[in-house]
Amino acid sequence: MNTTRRTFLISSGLLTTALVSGIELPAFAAGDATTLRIALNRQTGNLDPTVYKAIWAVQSMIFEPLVRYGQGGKLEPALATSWSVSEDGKALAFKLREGVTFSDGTPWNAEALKWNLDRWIGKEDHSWLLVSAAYDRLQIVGPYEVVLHLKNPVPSALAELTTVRPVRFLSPKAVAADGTFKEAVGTGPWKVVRNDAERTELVRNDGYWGEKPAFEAVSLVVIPNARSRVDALRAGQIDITGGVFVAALSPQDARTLEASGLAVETATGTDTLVLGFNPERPILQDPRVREAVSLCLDRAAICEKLLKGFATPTMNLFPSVIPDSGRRLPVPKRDVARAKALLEEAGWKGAGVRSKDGTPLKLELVISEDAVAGSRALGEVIQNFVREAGIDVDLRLVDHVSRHDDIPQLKYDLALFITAGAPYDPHSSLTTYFLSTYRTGTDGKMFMDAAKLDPLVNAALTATEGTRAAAYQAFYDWLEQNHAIAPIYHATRLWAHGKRVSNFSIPATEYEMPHEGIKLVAG
Amino acid sequence: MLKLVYKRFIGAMMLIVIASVFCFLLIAAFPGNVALVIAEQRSATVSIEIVHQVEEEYGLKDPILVRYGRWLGDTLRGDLGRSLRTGEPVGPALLRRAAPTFVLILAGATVALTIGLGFSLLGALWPGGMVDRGVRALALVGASMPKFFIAALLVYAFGVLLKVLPTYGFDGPSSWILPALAIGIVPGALISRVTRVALESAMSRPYVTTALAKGMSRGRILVRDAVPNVLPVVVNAFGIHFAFMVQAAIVIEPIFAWPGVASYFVEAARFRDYQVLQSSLLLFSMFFILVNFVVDLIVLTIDPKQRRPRSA
Amino acid sequence: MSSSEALLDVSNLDVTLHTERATVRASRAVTYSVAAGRTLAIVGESGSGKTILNLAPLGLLPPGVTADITGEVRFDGKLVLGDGVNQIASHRGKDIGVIFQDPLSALNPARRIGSQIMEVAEQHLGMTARAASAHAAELLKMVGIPDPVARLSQYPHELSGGMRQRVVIAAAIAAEPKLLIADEPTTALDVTVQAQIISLLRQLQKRIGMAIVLISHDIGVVAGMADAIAVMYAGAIVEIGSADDVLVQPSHPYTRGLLASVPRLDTPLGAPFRGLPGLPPDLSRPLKGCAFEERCSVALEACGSARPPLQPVAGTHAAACFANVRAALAATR
Ligand SMILES: Nc1ncnc2c1ncn2[C@@H]1O[C@H](COP(=O)(O)OP(=O)(O)O)[C@@H](O)[C@H]1O
Ligand SMILES: [Mg+2]
Repeated sequence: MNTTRRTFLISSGLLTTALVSGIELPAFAAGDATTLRIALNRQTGNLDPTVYKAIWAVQSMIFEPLVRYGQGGKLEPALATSWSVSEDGKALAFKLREGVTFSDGTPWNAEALKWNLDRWIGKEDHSWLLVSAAYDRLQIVGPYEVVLHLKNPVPSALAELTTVRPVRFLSPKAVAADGTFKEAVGTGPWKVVRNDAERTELVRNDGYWGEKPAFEAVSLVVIPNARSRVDALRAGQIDITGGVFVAALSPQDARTLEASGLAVETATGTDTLVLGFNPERPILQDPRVREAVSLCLDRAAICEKLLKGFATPTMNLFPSVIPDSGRRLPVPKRDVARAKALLEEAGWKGAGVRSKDGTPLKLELVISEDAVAGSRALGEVIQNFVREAGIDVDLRLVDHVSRHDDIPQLKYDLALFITAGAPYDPHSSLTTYFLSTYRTGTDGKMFMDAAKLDPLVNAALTATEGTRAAAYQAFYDWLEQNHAIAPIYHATRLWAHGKRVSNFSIPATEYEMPHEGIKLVAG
Repeated sequence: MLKLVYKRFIGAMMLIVIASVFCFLLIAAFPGNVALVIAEQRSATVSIEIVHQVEEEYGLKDPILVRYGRWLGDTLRGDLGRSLRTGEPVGPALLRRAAPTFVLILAGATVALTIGLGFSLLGALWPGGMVDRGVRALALVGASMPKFFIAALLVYAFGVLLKVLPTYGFDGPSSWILPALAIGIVPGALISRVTRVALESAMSRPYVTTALAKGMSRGRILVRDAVPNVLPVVVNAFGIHFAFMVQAAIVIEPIFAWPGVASYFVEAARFRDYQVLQSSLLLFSMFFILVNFVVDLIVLTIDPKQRRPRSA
Repeated sequence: MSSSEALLDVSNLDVTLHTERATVRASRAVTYSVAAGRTLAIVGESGSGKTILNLAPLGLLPPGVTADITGEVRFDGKLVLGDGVNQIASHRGKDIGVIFQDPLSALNPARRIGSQIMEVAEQHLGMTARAASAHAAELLKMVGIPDPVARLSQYPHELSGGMRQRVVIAAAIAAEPKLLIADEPTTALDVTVQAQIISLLRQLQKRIGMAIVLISHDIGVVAGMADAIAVMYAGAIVEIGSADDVLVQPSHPYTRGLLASVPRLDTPLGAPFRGLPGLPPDLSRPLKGCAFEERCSVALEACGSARPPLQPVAGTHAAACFANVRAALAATR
């Protein structure tokens, strides 16, 4: 008894001593001058470009496309130095960049391109990409020259080829004998040296064909908790945090970081938060009701109060940074009187909650914090805004999975949607959210009208260069005239960085990581 | 004694079986279609067809009993399946993630025990003194303070203001300190209160008067006479807090970005990754039951009346 | 009473206990002494203040109780209590051993008996653990415990009550004290064991040569062993003298009552027990006259208004009773 107690005391004493003596002091806080540290909100995951798992922005540091999506949607050469689209829009010719190798030494050429396309193009799982759905065959003209033949013209084909997955290029040697993915080897400026639950570590690809990074390594550290990321940045233990899909920075946190003297970088959002109406609900089939709801919203107040000024109020489906995003619409002031008048006109009458033929004007708004961060608060605000006009909105909080169950089955009256953003828009959101013939599993529809809207969508999607802008505008005009949707705001893109980082710039899309041009400075 | 141990062991085993049923049902009965989550991994936009195909593949439409049987069989064979979200095998992932959780709970337990014993002894040595009142206040406040708040305070103080300790990561002993404190301080304060009360009552027992009459000092009596008598109380209190540290780890691990079992669980919960959820929940329950079993055994051993019943 | 060769010399000791609920005058103006190597028995009903009188000066108060102590205590010729001095506690365990009434609770249930004895030798005799262990085994043998070495590693619950009291005694005498205070050492034990313990104490006294203060509520238990007897009632000594004097010529009605209540061998079984009628007074209330007045069969008028002082009866024999004085006066007349 005595001996066991003594042993216990001694061993716990030793453990404490070990803990204390193991403390190595602050070397970590400063960070070493050659490594950029960026926070991730989750594990990067399987980097295979044909699998929809990894964090896009991490994949984009390793794998490159044929053409790159520049600021404002301008296409820039990447693994292709030039390209052209045939008259009929069905053949895309590419000249490939010569002298490029994957980081394992495998040469980049038409053969490597074909090997990559064979992994995904034309397959069912990837048919959501119009270029994959329309794929006919690949013609190899020379070792650095290929033509992609499509069954029908796909005006968005080049934009689709700028995306991260499944289109980017993996080294043909980076797979096992049976063709399954083995390691993440691309042509990009970074090489993977570690990828696990804690962090993804990248080192500079010294054989990179483009401008080489100014620092040697990037450490992408997994910090799931938003609050912890903010603290880590303030403590100088990471250099960069932000990005919708990387480690989203909330408006409140951004203001906190600003207040503590850290740099918060902003860029106009490429996506739009939209309040959508279930077109199958009789109440909502009356455009006057939809317009009334829209008029009740004080968009400026939402941007100011809920998003701490990090959003732009809008009536447009897309922000102007999106190509062919149409004429800018004025954002109306909140007008409850007009909303009430519209409802009266539509037959919704009475004090308190309005009703018509005994049916109360009650609507259900589905809220999923997982799908749209901050949507619960937004839902409550919307609820209050419309109540004044006599509309009773119920909030139903659901999680990620339930939302994905309910939305496609149209089990809601109102729902919040976010457009796909760059580089997918405008074509992607049109297809997914408005085309009645396109069956989406999880995203649902913002609005549908097979007879009137589908032709406009199809016209916009298939329009060629010269007529495209007008075709899109016709679609936007229809939405506007019918009050089909209630766009609310474009959320500002937020990134924050510490004092070590200079020359920071926000990349063109949320699918890319800020690293280009960045310099690490002492302190 | 042996018979008692045997009985407790059987009890623990039965609890584990019951726990396995609960772990399975709890997760399997969640609303929402898991198939969608799986389907999302295959394509950027999911069609209903893919969802049905997934349901077919994973047998998600089978009766729940069939699914339980399948799961139990696989689990017993050591096959914990693959994560629905990442596709990696769950067993090795849990194993890999066991180390951080293990360290967290062990370091937290060390903190809790050090605080619990240290402060209660100091308090009992100088009843009503500063330490005594301080710990009482801390225990009172601490019991009602959420763990994440304590963690935030610690991070702010040592990471943001003083910049002396890492605020995140599982990266050697210096990175263990804040999480261990965050998880251990409150249990420590609570254990110290319980111990302190027990010590106080032990110190008013006749054997203490005897020891005083033998010329022993108060400090020595406290350690040699009172402590052995309160050990069962301490072990019990410690055992409970130790077992609940798994629960606390669910809060602490994500805050400090520790790649442990608890953060695996949290991630899985968000994405309805029920393969991971069921296995980690079962693991937690087993840990809980096992700790209780071990605590029972320890209490049995440290009580001489139980350990050595007066026989002949 | 005080003599130059006295080992323990207590004079005018007043102990007032303070608890949360009450203030109790547990002993008043108590004066006695114990000669080296001799035994003083202190007898009196339960609650008369025997324990407090002996243990309060040693700092061994019940938990939650504080005490005001006035008077003087000399130990081994040195002033250890009174006149601003308070060193008596430093003699605990070393020069003064204590045995308690209840051996069941006096030992620590969570510790082996060996270590409970050994620590005394380690502390006061500076012995190493090994030497102390041998010493403890010897002590156990001395107090009559068979197979002492094996016993050292046992726990209290593995021993009988009598054995446990022997262990308590062994711990109390481990440092060979000059004085042993035995507070009702046999009260909690079977009658047969009582006699064994008393005879053990006598043997030990002879061997070690220590003085003993033997406390008991049963005058019969101490009769055979005491050299001197002090009878306590309500916190004061009402009669004191050599054992022969007190037993043969009890001079206080309370002492006589105590003696009468001792069952004799020739008392037929089932005969009515002749205990003292009534209850002792509440010590938390002030007393005007003799504390025993209410229960006394020979009470005088004076007894209700004044407290009788301790008056010599013959030689060192003294008693505190007005009736006695009157009888003495009558006798001389
Ligand atoms: N723990 C205690 N709390 C309060 N009063 C006590 C306590 N112990 C003893 N006393 C008081 O002191 C008096 C003397 O008690 P004590 O010395 O224990 O008597 P004895 O040993 O003769 O039975 C009692 O009558 C009681 O009033
Ligand atoms: Mg007593």
